[in-house]
Amino acid sequence: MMQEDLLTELRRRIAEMQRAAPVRPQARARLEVTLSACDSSVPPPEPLDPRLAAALDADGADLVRARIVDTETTGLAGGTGTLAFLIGVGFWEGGVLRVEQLLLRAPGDEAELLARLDRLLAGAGVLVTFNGRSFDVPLLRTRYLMNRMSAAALERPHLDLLPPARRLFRGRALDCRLQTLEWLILHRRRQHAVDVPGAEIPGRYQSYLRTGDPAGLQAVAEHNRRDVVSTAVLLGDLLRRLGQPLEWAEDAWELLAAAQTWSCAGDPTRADAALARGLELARSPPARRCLLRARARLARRRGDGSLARALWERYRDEFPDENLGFVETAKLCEHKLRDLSAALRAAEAAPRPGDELAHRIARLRRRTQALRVH
Amino acid sequence: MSLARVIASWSAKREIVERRVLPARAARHADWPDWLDGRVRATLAARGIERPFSHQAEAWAALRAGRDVVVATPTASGKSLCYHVPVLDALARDPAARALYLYPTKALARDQIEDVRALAGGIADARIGVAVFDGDTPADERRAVRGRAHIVATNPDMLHSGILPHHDRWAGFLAGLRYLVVDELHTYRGVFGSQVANVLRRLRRVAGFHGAAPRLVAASATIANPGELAAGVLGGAQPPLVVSESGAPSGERVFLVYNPPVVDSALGVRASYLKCAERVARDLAAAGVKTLVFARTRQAVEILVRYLRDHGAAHARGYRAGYLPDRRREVERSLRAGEAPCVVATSALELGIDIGGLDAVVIAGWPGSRAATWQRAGRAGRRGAPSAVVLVVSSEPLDQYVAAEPEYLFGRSPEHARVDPDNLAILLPHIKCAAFELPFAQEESFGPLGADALRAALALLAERGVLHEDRGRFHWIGESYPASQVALRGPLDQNFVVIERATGTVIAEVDRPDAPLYLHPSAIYQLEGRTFQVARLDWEARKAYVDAVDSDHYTDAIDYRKVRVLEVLGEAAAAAWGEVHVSWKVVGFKKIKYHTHENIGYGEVALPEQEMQTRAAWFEAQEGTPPDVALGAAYALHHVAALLLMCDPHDLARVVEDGRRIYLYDKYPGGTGLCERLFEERAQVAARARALVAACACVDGCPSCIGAGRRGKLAVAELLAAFEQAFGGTASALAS
Repeated sequence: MMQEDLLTELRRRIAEMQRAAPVRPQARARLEVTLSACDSSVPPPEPLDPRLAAALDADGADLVRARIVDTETTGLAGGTGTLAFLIGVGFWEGGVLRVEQLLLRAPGDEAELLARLDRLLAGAGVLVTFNGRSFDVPLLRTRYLMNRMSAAALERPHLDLLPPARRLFRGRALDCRLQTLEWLILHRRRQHAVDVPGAEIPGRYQSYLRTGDPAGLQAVAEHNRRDVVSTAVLLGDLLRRLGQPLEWAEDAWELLAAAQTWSCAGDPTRADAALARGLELARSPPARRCLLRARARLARRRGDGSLARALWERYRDEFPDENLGFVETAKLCEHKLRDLSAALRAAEAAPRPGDELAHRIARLRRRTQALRVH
Repeated sequence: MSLARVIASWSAKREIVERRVLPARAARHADWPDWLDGRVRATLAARGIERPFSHQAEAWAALRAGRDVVVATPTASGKSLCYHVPVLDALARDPAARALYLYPTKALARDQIEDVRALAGGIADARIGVAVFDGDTPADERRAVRGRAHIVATNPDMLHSGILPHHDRWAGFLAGLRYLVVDELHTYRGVFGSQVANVLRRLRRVAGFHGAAPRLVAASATIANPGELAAGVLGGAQPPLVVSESGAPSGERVFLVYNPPVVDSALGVRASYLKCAERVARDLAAAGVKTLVFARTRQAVEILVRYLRDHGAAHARGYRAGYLPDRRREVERSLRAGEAPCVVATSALELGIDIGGLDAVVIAGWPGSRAATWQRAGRAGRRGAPSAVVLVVSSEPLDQYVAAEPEYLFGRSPEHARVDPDNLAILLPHIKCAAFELPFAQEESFGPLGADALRAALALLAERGVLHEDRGRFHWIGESYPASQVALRGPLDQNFVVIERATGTVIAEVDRPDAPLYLHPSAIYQLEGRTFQVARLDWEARKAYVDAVDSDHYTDAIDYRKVRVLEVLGEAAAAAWGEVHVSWKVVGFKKIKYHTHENIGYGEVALPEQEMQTRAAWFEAQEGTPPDVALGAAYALHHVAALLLMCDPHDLARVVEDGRRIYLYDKYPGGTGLCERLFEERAQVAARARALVAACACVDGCPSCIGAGRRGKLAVAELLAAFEQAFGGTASALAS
């Protein structure tokens, strides 16, 4: 199209739209959104065992100077055009949880918003988020880049509570959304009449920008503040369940999660205690299967061959239709306990034939015969 | 027997209706530019390149001087070195430098990148990483490609929806971007080209944000207006330099037009062009002449391969879209190595796949345009040796026209390729995408789109609520991801796979739009001379199950197309435009016997209707208009409309219903704004169509005016004049 025609056509279409939608008030209502709040009901977390921090992928985390971060964004798709228009930052000050919220009053103020975020995060010992590793933090990093600013404020230990929450609560049929955990685990209820559903949030910001009326944002700010507080509560709760599972865990899966974490943290004794307790509690076959495997493997790593054997034999007895218990018993007897005939017996008793098993049996037969010859 | 002897042996044939000798051209060389990195020069020397051709040096100098360049020299003239050399020179010197190569399809990117990789690998002391980034790149490799590759090959769709909206992840790559190479530029025409032009405007913007101002270099097949097309698609501030004078040598080329003999003079029936093409190819192959046969359809490729093999050319190979990649690589390799003396291909081999030079090219059936004919003919000739091209025309009207009037091919320039990136229906979605990528600043322009027009477009989008103006800058505030809502080439549906039941293996793939034609139940599916019968078509799962059969026939689907008006959006005397529903369905098939081409039966099939909602403009002829006159007028209107709307004729389709209502509809679902403009400019379209028909030099109808095989120019011109008058034009000057 010729440029003049194009211009005429565009102007015609704009005029048409303006006729269809009457001119709206341009005067902006004063922005009355509560953006700073305190909550004395959430106690600061205990200092975090450095080994546990490392096992949670947050090496060097200092919980005393934790900053809890949660963002509300203009969309969920990501990419360079998605803005974080509200950033909630929670931190403890004099034993009280404070939540500061930064609102992007206009898209052009983003650099200023990020500079304020820098100040709030200054000196942070760890960022604590819920699903921040794949969502909030990369998105904020993009925002810094788009404003040609350094994202150094984000480059510190990061404890994302979603992965440990998934591990801890896998025994319960729940989706691991923050609001679900809030309700079912933390027993904090949101008032649905007041809370704004997540899917409505981008639209509310759009309508604020379009009309200048911030009324719809009040509920979004409340939602965000609530998310920050819940993340803070969840932080203490998860660390208790993982740190002292014998006292706090509510089911066998939690004990398994704690044991895996401690095993990763280099404390197999605590891991084994959690697994032992888990086996006392576990009733369902899937839980027993996982716990028995985990404890047998841990025992083997700790060099306790006879415990490992006892556990694999238990596995074999509880799951006689599976090869695993038989094969693992055989492996253990062959390589660790040097009991070839027990190994052969175990292998031969395995219920499901297969190439690998046949191979193992053949090798064990050769080796036992060789022993007899010598 | 040499090529010359084969041609001489045909000299008495009456079927050869035209013989042109295109003279040999000597090589024109240039000196190596003194700035060229010694290691790059050494790599080229190791490939046996002693001196560059003049056109290569011309392109290098212009790029060096900071101009964008379009290279439009013939096939096999060493076009790719025009861009590889400056790219490698930049990369060898500067480890931070990067280059992006854009190919129209995934398959072509993967083909071509091997050549780049081989060249780059030969450069001493420079570790130049070369990678493909497309929809098939595994997620875990993507980070490595972004971080480590110096040359990335991709396609416009991936650039549009995978790279630009996430340009933050590409910050390092884009900051170093020195060259953007746009290969096969001629494929970016019409609506698709207009979309790609906007994607490139976005790329320039985003690269600018990261501090880069890449040079753009394009390569195009022979078209009439490479400079104009490149200016439109590349969209730089300064028009690109056109390099079209090839310095590569070419041997003498004999171009023959072969018209199959009349076998029934009473009915004027001619011998099958496929059989004639096969005969020509067989003569050449038997003499050891390396021959490539171009067929018009995949079906024709299979028939030709079968005939060649039946007649003793056991090594004849096929090559077409739908063959699995391994098979295609195998055929390409054997062509380069000279093992397959005869390969039959579709236009899949017309694009820049490296197969070396050939001694002869047989073109079975008029390819539809002069540009495509010359592109195919360009495959003939290697290292300045003489070569031959034989165009075997079919009995279709257009083919017969070319045989009767060879000047139509030899005397006119190849067709034009046009784009209109500022078509609002195309432009506005890309402005949204661009705003998502970066807010628009106050004084910005968008490629050649001026600041005023851009401000108006931004204001319109702000009015619609997807952009927000804040102190003169426009920010994206929509919730969605705008690139996901723009498909550059209409819906690219998943392919159908062809599975042999006995073995459970996938033997080929078929594009979705073609699936009903080739994979309906009982269809004979042909693959390199073997025949399979479709036992079951699983439409939902996109799978066709076939059994190997020894069939004496192949099948030819019969389809049916209907347009239904959903909503009239604008109306005037004898014309309207609006939303339409187009349905298309295969209703049956013919069984055609091999060799004799007898029709030996029919079958019916019940397949789901394919449908599309789009926009159309339609014109109403007077009652009593003979259908053939309406068809002729539709033909002329279609071609003039494409010209006026700056789109490709293939972006529109025409249907004539009840013999007098002429629909022209947009082939992109939902429409791309073409038909609204067509309606608005109907008076001019009708006037130009009438003038075209009236002024055409033909006797009474030809493919340039009312379509081949039709007579009655005067009646068509009268109908067009009536349209012109009804549409408010001045039809006073009706040419007699």
